Amino acid sequence: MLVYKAWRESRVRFLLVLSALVAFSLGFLLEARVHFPPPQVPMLPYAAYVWSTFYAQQAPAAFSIVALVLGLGGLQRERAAGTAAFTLALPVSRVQLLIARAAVGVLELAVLAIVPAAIVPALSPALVHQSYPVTQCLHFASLFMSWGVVWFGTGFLWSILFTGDYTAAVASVLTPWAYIVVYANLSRGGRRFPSANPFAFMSGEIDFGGFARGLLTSPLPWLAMGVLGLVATALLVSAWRLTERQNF
Amino acid sequence: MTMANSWVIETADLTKRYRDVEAVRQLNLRVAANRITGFLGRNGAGKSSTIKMLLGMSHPTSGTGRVLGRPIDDAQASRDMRRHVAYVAEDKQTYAYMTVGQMIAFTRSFYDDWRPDVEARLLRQYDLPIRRKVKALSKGMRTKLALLLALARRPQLLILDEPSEGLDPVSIEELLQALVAAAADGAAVFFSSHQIAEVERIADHVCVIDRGRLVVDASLDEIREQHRRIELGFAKNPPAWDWHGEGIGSVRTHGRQITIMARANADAIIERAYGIGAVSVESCAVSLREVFLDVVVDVEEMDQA
Repeated sequence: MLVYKAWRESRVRFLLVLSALVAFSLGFLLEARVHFPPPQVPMLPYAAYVWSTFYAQQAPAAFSIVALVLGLGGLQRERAAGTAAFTLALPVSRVQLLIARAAVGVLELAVLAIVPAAIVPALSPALVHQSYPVTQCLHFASLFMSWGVVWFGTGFLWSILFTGDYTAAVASVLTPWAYIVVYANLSRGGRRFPSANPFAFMSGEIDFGGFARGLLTSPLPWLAMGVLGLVATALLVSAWRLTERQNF
Repeated sequence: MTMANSWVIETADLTKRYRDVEAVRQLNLRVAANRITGFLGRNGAGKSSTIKMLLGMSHPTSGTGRVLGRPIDDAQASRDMRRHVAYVAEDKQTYAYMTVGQMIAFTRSFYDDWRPDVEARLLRQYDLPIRRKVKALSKGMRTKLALLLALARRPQLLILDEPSEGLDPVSIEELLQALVAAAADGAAVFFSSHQIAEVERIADHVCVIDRGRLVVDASLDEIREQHRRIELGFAKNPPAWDWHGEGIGSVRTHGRQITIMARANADAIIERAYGIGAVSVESCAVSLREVFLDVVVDVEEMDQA
């Protein structure tokens, strides 16, 4: 039932983003049916065309914001709504509440990361008369999820640290930009720690060993993904430790 | 569990400090099983802070407490305790996005002691629309839903924080009857209120908290027996006399009349009054309201001093 509660609390946000993503994917395909290949680049591979729309440009930043927003909510939000006392009087621990919320949020994020994989490869042959490999979509979904869980964990932590109604939301929207500014300074323009550049990592633009014409040709960067998973776990554990100490 | 000595709630020097505000000060509270205990206090006296500590929602700054024998500062023990405790919070908010029916199903899933027959009866009695979303309910209806969620169980301890707030007189009457029925059913009832008349009607025992301190802890019978209003009349202006002493609360002088609120030792006070020349003495029973005002004003004077 805690999972049901977490789902009910986040489903409006999730369904709005899901609807927008599905509409965007279908719109892309209908547009590609008419305008692909673009007359100015007649030799552009379809994979590069898909990549530039779904996985490059603003897409990593947009996904990061969505992940941060999905991490919001929880007991501080409930305190503002006046339901924290009811929730905390239930015979469940605070960590159980957190686990349910984290599980639902990560699952929602995974669904959003996979949506293009469900739509683009399936409908491209019929609508655009082109094919796009599912494995590419799944590779990109993995890259998006790797940084997505870090952003989700950050939003989760903000939602526990900030008690104001909109403070956590504002902090979440500003976080990726603040991070990029700090990263650009510390990494000497992105030359050091390339995997720590979230947008380049998610779009596959950094050199994992092979990226050409919009297609990832190398295996996934498992080590970097593992490190990002650990960072996300550390953020969630920090959120839990803080929640245990809070007064409601 | 320390049910052998029949205390469902016990605290020892329980203190809660929020920055520079001491909401609860070294509270030594004991609430007996199978009784209705009223927890009286003004707004901001420390009632809700105490209840939140008892239920593990906030952490004591110092001191200890046990509810149903389980320590309140042990997270696992507190969770186990909450299986046997029903609670109605001060603001009675439940999840706005759920319907009444979903809210009932959600809450029911956490408790083994749920009573479907009571749920059905209260749904009829309170006239709650099962398909309506909580956010569309009036304040009174939300209060009734919160009460249903607590009363449809068979808890060992029922804790209610200002339960009658937002209810009309008929609903308040139904609520008080429901609390009496819960106590008759074996539950200990501990409810906070600043509605003295409600406490006086149903409580067996009264605890009064003021500025975080417990200032009265007695059964209603003891209060009625020990607290007296003593009216003294003198033939001429009464002599200067230090009335402060054991058992004496507030003292008011109006010309040749002195009114003393006695908290104990009424007979000794009357004897003293005759000794200094009182020509008429009348000892009257007092209401809980008078007792409450007497102790609260006294605490205020002590703090100002």
